[in-house]
Amino acid sequence: MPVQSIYEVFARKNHEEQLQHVGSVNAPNDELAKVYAWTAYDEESWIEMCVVPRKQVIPVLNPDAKPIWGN
Amino acid sequence: MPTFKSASELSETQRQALRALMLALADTKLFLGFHYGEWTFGTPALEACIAACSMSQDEFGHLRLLHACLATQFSAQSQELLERRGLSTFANVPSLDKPLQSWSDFVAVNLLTDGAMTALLSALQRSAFEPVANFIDKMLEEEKHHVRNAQGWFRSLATANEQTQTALADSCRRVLASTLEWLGPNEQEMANTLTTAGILNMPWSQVQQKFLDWVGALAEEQRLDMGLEKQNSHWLPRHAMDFTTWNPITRRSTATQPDEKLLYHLRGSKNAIFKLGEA
Repeated sequence: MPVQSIYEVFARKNHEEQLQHVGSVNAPNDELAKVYAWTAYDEESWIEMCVVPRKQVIPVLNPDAKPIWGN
Repeated sequence: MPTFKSASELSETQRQALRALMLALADTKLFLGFHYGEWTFGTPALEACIAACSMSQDEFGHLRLLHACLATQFSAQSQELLERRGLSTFANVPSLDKPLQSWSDFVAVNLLTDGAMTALLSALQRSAFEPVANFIDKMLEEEKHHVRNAQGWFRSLATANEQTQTALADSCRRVLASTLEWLGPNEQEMANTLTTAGILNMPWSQVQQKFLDWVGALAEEQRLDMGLEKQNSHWLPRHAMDFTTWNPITRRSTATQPDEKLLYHLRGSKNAIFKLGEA
């Protein structure tokens, strides 16, 4: 049974800009996470966008604290 | 291969063949846009609502481009394309004639009907007919997300539980049969005309086979029986389809047509008094 995971979404508008965290989506697999990120955060003309499973993010400081995105 | 800057450079046979194909593509996108839009509510996940709504906007954007091309190149009046057409003249894929009953119907239409349109768009890339070649790449770029959405949901439902697998298999078999009816026989006079002129970049049978091979591989991967079987490394319908009564204009074998209530809603007939005139 597929379960939903949280994916963090990162994007940038031009090559001079660094990738920035723009939000998160819930998805059962990577394929849907990509679609959901693209459709949910379409307010800008991004030149790059990527998703990262939240479980794969390794906190460096305060590993027990909530991540910066809060939820 | 010579290119055509406008429809006035085409022969009458080429004009008729291209007009019919573009109208059938536009009709299918009209109904895809409507059904995707209807599923802005009631999806199994919030993100899926946003994706459905976004795909609806894409389809209506594509429809607008196709209608503009039909109007400028083939002198089709905008009202003739939607508002003043008899139900029996619509050439959309029949799977879209009625409201989609369940999420598995949505996923099947997203995968198979929209997928078949993407296969057709690929065959129109670098078309010798320049007005079409100009917008195909943009459409295909947006369709990538539709394919991803469809595959993502197909794989999720196919591996969820027996109930969702059964519902998905039923929806896929029904929608695939309807989509293959629209794709029609291997040999089509009008499609041959377009391929010979370079307006389609491959023979029609190749468009069908590319679509079937993609669907067959997905079905095999998820062990879901869609009524296809592998023969000499290619996927084909297990039972040959009967196209003796197939109409190349409506792309239907039987006297099916869109639901009247659905079209009433889609046309905005209820709000006809608020429509503004055209300059």
